[in-house]
Amino acid sequence: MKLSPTIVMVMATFATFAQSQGALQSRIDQQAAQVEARVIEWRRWFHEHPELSNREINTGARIAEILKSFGLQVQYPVAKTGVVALLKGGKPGPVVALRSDIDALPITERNALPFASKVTTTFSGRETGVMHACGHDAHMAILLGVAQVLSNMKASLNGTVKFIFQPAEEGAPSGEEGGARLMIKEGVLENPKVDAIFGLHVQALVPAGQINYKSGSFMAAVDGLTITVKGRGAHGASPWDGVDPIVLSGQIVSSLQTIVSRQLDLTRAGAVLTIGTMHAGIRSNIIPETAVMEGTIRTFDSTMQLEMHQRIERTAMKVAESGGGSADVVIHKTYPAVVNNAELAAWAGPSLTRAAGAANVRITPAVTMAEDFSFFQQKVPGFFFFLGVYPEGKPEKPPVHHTPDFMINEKVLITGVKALSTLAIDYMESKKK
Amino acid sequence: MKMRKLLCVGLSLITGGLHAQMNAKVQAKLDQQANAIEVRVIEWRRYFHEHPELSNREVNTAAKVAEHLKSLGIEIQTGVAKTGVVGLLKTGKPGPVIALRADMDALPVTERNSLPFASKVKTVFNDQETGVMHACGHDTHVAILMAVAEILAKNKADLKGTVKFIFQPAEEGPPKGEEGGAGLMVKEGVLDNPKVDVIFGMHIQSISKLGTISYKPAGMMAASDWFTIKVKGRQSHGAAPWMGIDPIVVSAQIITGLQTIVSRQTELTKEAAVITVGRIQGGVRENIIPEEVTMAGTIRTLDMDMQKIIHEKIKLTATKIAESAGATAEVTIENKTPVTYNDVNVTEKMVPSLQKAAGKDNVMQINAVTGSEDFGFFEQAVPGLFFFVGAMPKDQDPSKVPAHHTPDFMIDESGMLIGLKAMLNVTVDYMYLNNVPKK
Repeated sequence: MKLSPTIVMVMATFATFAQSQGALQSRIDQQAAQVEARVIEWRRWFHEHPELSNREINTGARIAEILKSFGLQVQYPVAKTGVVALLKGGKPGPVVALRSDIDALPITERNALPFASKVTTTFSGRETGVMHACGHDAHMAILLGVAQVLSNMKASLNGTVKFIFQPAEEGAPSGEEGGARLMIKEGVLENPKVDAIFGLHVQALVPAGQINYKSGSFMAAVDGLTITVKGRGAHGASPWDGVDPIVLSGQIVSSLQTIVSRQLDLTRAGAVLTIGTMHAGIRSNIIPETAVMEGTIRTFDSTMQLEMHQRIERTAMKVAESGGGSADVVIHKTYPAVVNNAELAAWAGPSLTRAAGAANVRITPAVTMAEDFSFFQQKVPGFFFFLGVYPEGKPEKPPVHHTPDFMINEKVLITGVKALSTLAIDYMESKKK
Repeated sequence: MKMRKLLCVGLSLITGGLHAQMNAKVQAKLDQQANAIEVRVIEWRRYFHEHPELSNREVNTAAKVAEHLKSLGIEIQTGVAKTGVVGLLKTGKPGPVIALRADMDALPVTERNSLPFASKVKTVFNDQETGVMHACGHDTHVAILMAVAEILAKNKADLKGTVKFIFQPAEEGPPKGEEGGAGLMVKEGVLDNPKVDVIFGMHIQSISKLGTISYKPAGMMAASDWFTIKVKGRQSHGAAPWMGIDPIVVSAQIITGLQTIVSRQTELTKEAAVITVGRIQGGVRENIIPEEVTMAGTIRTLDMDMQKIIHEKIKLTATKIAESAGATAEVTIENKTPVTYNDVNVTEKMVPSLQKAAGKDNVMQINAVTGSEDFGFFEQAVPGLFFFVGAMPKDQDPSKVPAHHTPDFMIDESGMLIGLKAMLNVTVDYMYLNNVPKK
């Protein structure tokens, strides 16, 4: 087969491009390698000094101080305790945002690490430890590492990078605003206007160094659910004198499961309905007046989400009525689904492969956990991925997120630095003006 | 004032005394005659046992009964409620009209007993070849009532008022599409002309100790109502339930929900109640979600108010649970047999009569049973008393008694004599009790 001149030309261009990409990647890798020790140091400091949602005062101050040391333009505080920094590249181009969350959880650490958290506080009236039990300490350290890498490469950047350090991803304390939604409300995606946003989350259950992602719905929408079943109180010995809200609640819990099992099109996307609390009564021989149950709804598709909400209302109300009771259903929309922009996801694959190695990049099924990164994605195209941080020397089943034994593998934080740096640089390169 | 009160007490004491006194001579005579007729009662019973006939087909049985009553000079009416026979014994003296009832029908059960008079009768029932058997003891009821008629007819001179003998067809329920049983008898006026004041009936019990009589005031045997619930969903492929509405899952939820009517919503201290879903049909193939499911069941209640409330709750539970999943439920409830409700006053008055028949220690008040009897139709119209006569075979291990309606059902014939005496006693005692001048 003869090669046409055009094809030869295209191939030559491609080769040059590939070559220049290769050179760029080596520069990123080099920079990342230089910053790795500091990234681990930062992560350990954050790990030892965890702060709860909307209370990340020292964390925010520390981040601002570090970012300033890179010569970045820093805004602090944003959305209570958040930090936003702007890095203007040497050449014109798009604005790319990179996001890290910064809050810790009310969990008492059980790890024997030298930098284990000893912080305690009072949460919901109870004494508790505070711990980075979801890896946000790693996210901050990685994003600071990226900020340093990109600052060092400032002159060759084709655009602007906005670093977003977001408070309260785990949810603001009751009665407070916070998190991604508040950041957007305060204009974090404006001045300059963000063209695309990238974010990551470490995953203790994913092999260390592996990157998982999925185009489209990647993480679930989460909605809260409260059902108050109203009966009529009676003596436990004479149920016929009342309407028993506990038996009705039992029937409602079972019936709700049939919404998922029988009524929703599970081929479109999965769905989960979990009743996590159920409270009624004060004494074994009294049939109470009401029973209250709370749950969480996970969906990936806004149509299914709406259907789910309507069916929950119908099921709870009618089953309650079937026994002469009634049900009040309140659904609190909490976080939308993390939906990865299809175009960005298709484009991100090769960049991630370069940053982490082809063997380490996987397209995976969606997960039923939620993330408020989705609020950013509702406004601008966004891409979110997981970085595996399966701890070293841990048993087959490592402690999961949000538990006192949660632990990560620091050795792969550098992969996160490389991945985010590569995505940012490649994005700016691809959209350069 | 004081005096009058005392007088009343005195009068009632005399009345009580009258009861025992006036009956003493007659009582001895009736007992003696009952003993004497026992052999023939057994003979009649064996004849009926060997010639059982299904509900509304009791032609030969009725003819035999009619012939007997006629021979006694009792005015008879045949073909009442299909094959029933009603006899009227007029004493010519004023007094109450007392009805005595025996049911006559047998069951589509193939007898497995090796009695010389075991049934060899065969028929086709619901398209199935089957034997026919008196597997519920109605043969004994007919024989006993024939003996009661004979003894009362012979002793007419000692009696007051009128006795109406009701030989009733189809207690077990008429064949599909036919009317029959006590309901139809009442409809055809069996309790009128002359108007019946009180009705007595009994049932032999193979599962109760020989020689005993048991009864319960108020609800003794349950009302039996049938319900059908048709759950309509929307058909779809079994692999894609979201395309339809699954009536099978909805039905399962309804079945569970129905149980909570009994467990949570019914005042069980007043009376027991039972809701049984006995049949459920839906679908034709494993991988097709059907359009609808039909379930049917029986409701047993012992109190008319509770019966009404439970019917309403069944409708509410089924329709609302169906709606909870987007389906609908059609509930139909058919009132089948009313509660066998023993008039409290009549029962209280008649207990001594039962005690005379079986001995004081052998008469006991029992808990209600959730089986049903169409005697309830009579008791809905007039006060009545229904009681059980124990006839468990003497050597039978009580834990292994063959139940009524089974091929091995058997009774001890010596139990019939107590049934006979009890029926005689309640009849004659009631006549005397109610013949006291009302002043």
